[in-house]
Amino acid sequence: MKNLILFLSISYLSAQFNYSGEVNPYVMTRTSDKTQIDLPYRIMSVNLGYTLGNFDFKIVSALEHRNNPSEWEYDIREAYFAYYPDWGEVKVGKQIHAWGAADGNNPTDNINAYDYYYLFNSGAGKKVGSFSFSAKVYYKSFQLEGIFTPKHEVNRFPYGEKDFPLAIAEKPEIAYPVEDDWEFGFRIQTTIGESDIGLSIFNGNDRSPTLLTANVTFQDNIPPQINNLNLGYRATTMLGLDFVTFIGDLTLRMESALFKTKNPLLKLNIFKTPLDLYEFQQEVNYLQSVFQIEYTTLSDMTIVLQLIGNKIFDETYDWYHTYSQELVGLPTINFQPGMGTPFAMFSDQALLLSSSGVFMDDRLEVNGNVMMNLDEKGQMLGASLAYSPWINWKVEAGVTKFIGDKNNLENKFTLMEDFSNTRVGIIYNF
Amino acid sequence: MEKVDQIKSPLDSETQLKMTLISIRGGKKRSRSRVLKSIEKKYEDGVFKTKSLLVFSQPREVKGTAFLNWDRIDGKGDDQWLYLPALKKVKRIRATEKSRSFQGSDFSYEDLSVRELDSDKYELIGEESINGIKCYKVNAMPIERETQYSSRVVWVDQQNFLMKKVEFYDKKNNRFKVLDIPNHIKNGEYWTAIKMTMHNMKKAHSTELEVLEVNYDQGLKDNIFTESYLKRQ
Repeated sequence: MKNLILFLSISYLSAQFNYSGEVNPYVMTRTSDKTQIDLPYRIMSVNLGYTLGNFDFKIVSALEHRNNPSEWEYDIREAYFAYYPDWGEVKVGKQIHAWGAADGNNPTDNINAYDYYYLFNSGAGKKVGSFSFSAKVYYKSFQLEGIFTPKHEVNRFPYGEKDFPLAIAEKPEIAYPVEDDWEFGFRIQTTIGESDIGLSIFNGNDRSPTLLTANVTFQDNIPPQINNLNLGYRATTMLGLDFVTFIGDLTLRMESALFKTKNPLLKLNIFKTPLDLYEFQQEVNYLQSVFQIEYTTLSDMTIVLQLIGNKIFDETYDWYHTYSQELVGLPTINFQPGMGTPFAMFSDQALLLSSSGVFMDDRLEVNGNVMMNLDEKGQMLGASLAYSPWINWKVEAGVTKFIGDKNNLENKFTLMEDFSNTRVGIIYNF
Repeated sequence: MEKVDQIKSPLDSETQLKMTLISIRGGKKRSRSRVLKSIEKKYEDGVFKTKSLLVFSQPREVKGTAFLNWDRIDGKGDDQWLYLPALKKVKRIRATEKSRSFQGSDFSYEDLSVRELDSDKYELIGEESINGIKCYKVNAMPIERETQYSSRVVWVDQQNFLMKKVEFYDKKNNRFKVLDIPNHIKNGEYWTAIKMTMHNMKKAHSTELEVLEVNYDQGLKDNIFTESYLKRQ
């Protein structure tokens, strides 16, 4: 008993509780007609931490709010235990992981799903936490990391959001939930001279649904009639490479991921399967890459240039009748990656230029960015200013403009034109 | 200057600092402060000179932002890492040039690093009192050109051989910056400059560095100066 009291006393004395967070109410207004864009956003974030020796417990939570109609939702985005022995770190719980060398767009970073409401946020803010077990070992100049996730998490899409132009009208029904939920990833990093190089592998399931089967009626002399599309998730393996090096005043970051994805074999009971059901078997290899050059000016302004590429190759597909296994000549569907950097959704080749700086003794923060679609017409321009009149308080204002192609209404940038907006808000950090 | 160099310094230190940036515009003084922790350890392994960690706690917006620096002996440049809590990622960054401003302050990285005794040649140019303390006035001219300054004039306390004031001259021989170190206290066997103010003579700007708390020779473990520890701050 005495030992227990002594242990508890020592634990209490050596433990550290800490907290931080921000309150950030803001309003987004369409530049076209000055109407408000009503999407949910994180009005408040709170991070809590409890440290006891080599152990940490962390909770990252957010209060999400929609201005009109007024809606509130509290979300525990992360809650995990961490143990930091001399050789590395072990974490278990709901976590957000970060892989890759580039800033913001990381094709090798696929452990967590993305939250498309926060697509334009940086870092962990645009990801969805998932329950996982991770361990990292530091040995000389090597880092080895393993992550295991027992449950498949999917991207959060703004379904039915009239204010988000790329939103799908309603949440689709998933006919074939993932059978093998287990996902795992390994990463090894080492330092060679002044460069860091990392190799990674991730084996899991797509974060976005895809077509797996369809109910089709064939009749003589008329094209096949597709009655129903049934969705599920492809199984995907990612092989990644990331690299950081320094040349003179420049920092070069490179990241490349090869994705091998295919529709899962559906173990359908043919006796319970409708006769008009046809399975779609698609196998695709695609490559996503980010090449980044970074320069810091004498006045500490950081300029970042990124070239983002997404290339599909080795695409094969077959349609076959589930019951008879007979191949049929139905057309393929456009392939959409279900894993990788979300910016691939906008363009197969894009150039991103961003700059940021802090002036007036930390009072004024200036950011600017341009994204140019190199494939076809399309640009995104953004600029923001944040002024801090008092410590821990900021007033922010920003503008984002999408310029599409008037002759191509399917162009993603054209679709996003009505999302061009101004944003005004207040930030209080505590 | 040999006696200045012989002043005993600790093997490791953990210092809580308040850095205040002060600007004067239209006769009005405006200031903005940051609070940070600096942890440093000397190495005698033949590879590293020092390893250091800087962790910001104020303003709250940058709480948890941390820098790790490994200063190599071979002169191949430092290894630096930055941890930004919002990104949840440790980023390897390009080693900052010594002449660059330290975190937007009037101190450069060079000003905050220890200058080797044999890097300069010295000339005694007089004696003056600083805040009532008798000082030697010494002109230090760099032997190597790897510095942003053409010379420094140093006022050294005649009793304890502590630097009380330094004037930095740019390559055109104009007075560029002035460092005032009015107060030192002795913690055990080590002297601590509890407040330093660097005045930039080209801009109406200065930076005050105040020691809030300091601990020496705690036997800091090597795993403090790792990426893993950087993320825990």
